[in-house]
Amino acid sequence: MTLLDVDGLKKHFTVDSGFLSGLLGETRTLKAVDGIDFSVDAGEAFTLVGESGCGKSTAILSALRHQQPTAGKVRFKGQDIEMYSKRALRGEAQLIYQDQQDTLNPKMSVGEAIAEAIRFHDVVPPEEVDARVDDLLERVGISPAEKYQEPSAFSGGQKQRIAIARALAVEPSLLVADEPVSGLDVSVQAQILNRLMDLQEEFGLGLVYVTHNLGIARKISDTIGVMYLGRIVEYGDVDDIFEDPQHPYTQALLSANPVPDPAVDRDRIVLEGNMPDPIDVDDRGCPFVPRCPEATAECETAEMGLKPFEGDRGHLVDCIHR
Amino acid sequence: MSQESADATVTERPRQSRAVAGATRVWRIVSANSLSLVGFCIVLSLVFVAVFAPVLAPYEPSAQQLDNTLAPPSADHPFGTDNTGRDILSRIIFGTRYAIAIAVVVVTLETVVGVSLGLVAGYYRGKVDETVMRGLDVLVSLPPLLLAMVIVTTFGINIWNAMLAIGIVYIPMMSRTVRSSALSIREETYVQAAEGLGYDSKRVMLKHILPNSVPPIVVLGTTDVAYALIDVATLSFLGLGIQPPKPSWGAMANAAREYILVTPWPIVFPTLAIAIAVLGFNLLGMGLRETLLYGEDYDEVVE
Amino acid sequence: MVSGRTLGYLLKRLGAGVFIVWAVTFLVFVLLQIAPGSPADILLSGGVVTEEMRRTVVEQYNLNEPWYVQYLLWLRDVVTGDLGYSFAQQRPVATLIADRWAITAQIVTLSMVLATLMSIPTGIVAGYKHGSSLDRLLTVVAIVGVSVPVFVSGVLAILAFSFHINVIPSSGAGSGVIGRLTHLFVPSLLLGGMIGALMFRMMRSGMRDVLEKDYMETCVAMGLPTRKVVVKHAAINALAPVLTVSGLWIGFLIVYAMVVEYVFGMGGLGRLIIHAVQAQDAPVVLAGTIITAVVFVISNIVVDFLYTKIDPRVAIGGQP
Ligand SMILES: Nc1ncnc2c1ncn2[C@@H]1O[C@H](COP(=O)(O)OP(=O)(O)O)[C@@H](O)[C@H]1O
Ligand code: SF4
Ligand SMILES: [Mg+2]
Repeated sequence: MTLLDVDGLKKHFTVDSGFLSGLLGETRTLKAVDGIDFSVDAGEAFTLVGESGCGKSTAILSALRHQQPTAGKVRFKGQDIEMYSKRALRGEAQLIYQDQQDTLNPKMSVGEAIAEAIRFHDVVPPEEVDARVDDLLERVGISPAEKYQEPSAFSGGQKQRIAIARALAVEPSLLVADEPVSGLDVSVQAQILNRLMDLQEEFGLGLVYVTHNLGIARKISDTIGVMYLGRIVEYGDVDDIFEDPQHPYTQALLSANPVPDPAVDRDRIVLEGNMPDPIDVDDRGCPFVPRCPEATAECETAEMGLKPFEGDRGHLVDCIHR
Repeated sequence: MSQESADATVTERPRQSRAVAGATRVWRIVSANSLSLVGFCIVLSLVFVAVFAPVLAPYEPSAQQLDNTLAPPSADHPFGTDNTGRDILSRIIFGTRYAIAIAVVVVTLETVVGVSLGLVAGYYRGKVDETVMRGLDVLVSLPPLLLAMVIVTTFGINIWNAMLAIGIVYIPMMSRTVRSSALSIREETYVQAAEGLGYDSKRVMLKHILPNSVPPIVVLGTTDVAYALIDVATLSFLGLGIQPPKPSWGAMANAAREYILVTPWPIVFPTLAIAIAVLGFNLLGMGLRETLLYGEDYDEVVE
Repeated sequence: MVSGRTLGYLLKRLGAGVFIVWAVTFLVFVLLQIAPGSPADILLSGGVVTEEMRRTVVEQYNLNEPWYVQYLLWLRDVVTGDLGYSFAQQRPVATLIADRWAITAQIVTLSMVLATLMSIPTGIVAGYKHGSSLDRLLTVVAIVGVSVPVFVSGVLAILAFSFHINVIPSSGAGSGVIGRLTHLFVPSLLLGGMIGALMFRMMRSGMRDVLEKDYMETCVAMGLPTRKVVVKHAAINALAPVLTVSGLWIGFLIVYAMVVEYVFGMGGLGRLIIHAVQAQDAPVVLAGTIITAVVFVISNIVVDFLYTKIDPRVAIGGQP
């Protein structure tokens, strides 16, 4: 079943660039997300990868109405997402944040934080709440005896896991995780990712995972969307993307950050320059032109859009030379 | 750390021990600083005297002894007697009740109205914030005592109008403080997360923002009680607040003003009582400010 | 010089000030309307009421008109300087106030000067050496200072000086410049002590905050002599909030000046307004309130202006 279906999602920010133009009432538009499509099925793990600032967080935040999108249609379980009440939607789709450790109220015991979520979404009858809290804490490897402590008593990795337990407590059908392990020790990262994957499998959750780390993307996902400057430039199964990358950007990313895989042997492609600000992007042509090693004059004016690669309906690329 | 785990085990036990844990926590915060410790002792004594006034007072506060007026301090009347021969010590002891009543009224209005307005303004921002804050600016432009005078002029001079007026005029500062704290706390990740869990705004404000703005509220509330005591005493001294023969300290000082040439005691003791009560709340507020808002060992003490 | 941006900022503050004064008049009007008893009764109370007086008050305040007409006509009177008529004292309120405001203004000014002299240097020292025994001593003195209501210290001062030492005049306002100053000195000292204690506290914590900021360490690291760093940077930075708050305190100061005046038996606004409240003479109290609001607003605009000179962040258009 398709859980989340995102179609033509856009999120533009109005920024006033400096004081003078502010006075003149001049504003500029920052296209953080500029028309993306993707969908996630129950039990599927979809990952958005891309450099920092390419619009990953904005994409998921506006898809799930944490922010109001500028344009686009989002369906959740086949129904327009606008039709859901905030409470109902959050009971179905939970977000795990980048700085998840800070998502726990410092003045509330962690047990109470989880119990609050359970009670608010009426997940189980009141008398079963306590047992459920203990169960959830155990699942993420925290001793239920510690539930009376406030967050300050726990380490970063522990807090991360407690917050994951809280997100799971509402029994969502979709879990959206925005770089949930960045900033943690590598060993802790692995622990948490493994747990997340186990839980996803156990509950049959849909998972949208956001990361700039290709290693994690490969480990965790079924399908992948590669984002550049607010757009998805390549979309496909994890194997398609890692073993047969087509978009020049994906190729460059993979060669710059080799993911250990003896079966693949690639030349190193070096990207020139940095990703520009999404504010200076031309509407026409391919946004990757300035950094693309294969760019031609045609690329500057062409009509862009994801197209199936070699007739494969599952592997889509947004490059006119493919 | 050992302190924290001790706390956790306490929280598991029934209500009674929870009260003990709360008291321990209060004591830890208050005793962290010598200013707040002294202030706390003064405030606690005031409460004690107010509660046990009938037991502690040697005489009825309104019992007149017309053959023994304006007597200097003596063994029978440690603080002397006033112009109708009432025992000044007993009246001061009963006057504590007015001081505590003022504290209760001010704190209640400040927390119920002031904190709510501040939370709402800081949480919703935008137009709501603008409206609330502009309204409060108007109240702030009038000095508390003057606004209180306006209220008692239009609504009549009596104890309730005086206390309510003083209570109302302390609302704006509390709202402003809570607002600015709410404005910054609402940007905290844990508040964003609470909204991400679908929680309604009431829950987010009361359970996630409010508990994290407690320190400035406690500090300001305590200091404001000190100012309110001064204001009500001043009003009563001017004959605009609590009226004689009620044994309020300000009214006693007012009544004694006429006899200042004859004997200073009837005015000295009530005014000292006012100063000590105000000092108690001020010391407590100052000390709490150091501990809760500045303290280097803030985490140790509070967490 | 005043840049265009600063000017815009000041104009905005001026607009806010006009709004506040307007709102105060409205508030006062609303209080009259919602208070128990008819506005006519409230405006007339405080004296023997004749039928003729009732007719006059109904006419003067247009009490037969709908409330918004009453309000607008009254507002027009206030703006043109007609502050109403005290039926208790049988005189126009404007005259009553004109005869008495000077003493209050003098006490306010003198106590502000004394407060500044007492608090700023001590605040700088205490903040610089915070934690030292000198700091502790000054802090305790300041707490006692804010804890003693001015009427209490006033009464005690009268007791101490006039009856037992007999040096300082305890009553009246004195005549001639020297006479006036000696009469004003003790009341202003008491009031200045109270305000000074508040200013001291702000100055001290302002110094502390500024000194704890990293850039102060940078200054020190760059080899500027310590003393110079402390006095110039920290004190100027710490002064900005004190200035803002002293603007906010002006109303408070006026009212407490009234109280000391009253205690010391001087014939300023204090006696007028306090007697008016005691006599429930509403026109005088309401006019006093509006005037205080106007003074408050004007002094805060002046403070805002000074602030733009001290704090460069405001001058380039940040939030106050
Ligand atoms: N609230 C906002 N206002 C203006 N610009 C924003 C806002 N949020 C994000 N952006 C901009 O949108 C772009 C994408 O940001 P983000 O979605 O956070 O990227 P990512 O999560 O991929 O690192 C960035 O250029 C960022 O500066
Ligand atoms: S369209 Fe042109 S510029 Fe864009 S990725 Fe393809 S080759 Fe590069
Ligand atoms: Mg991000």
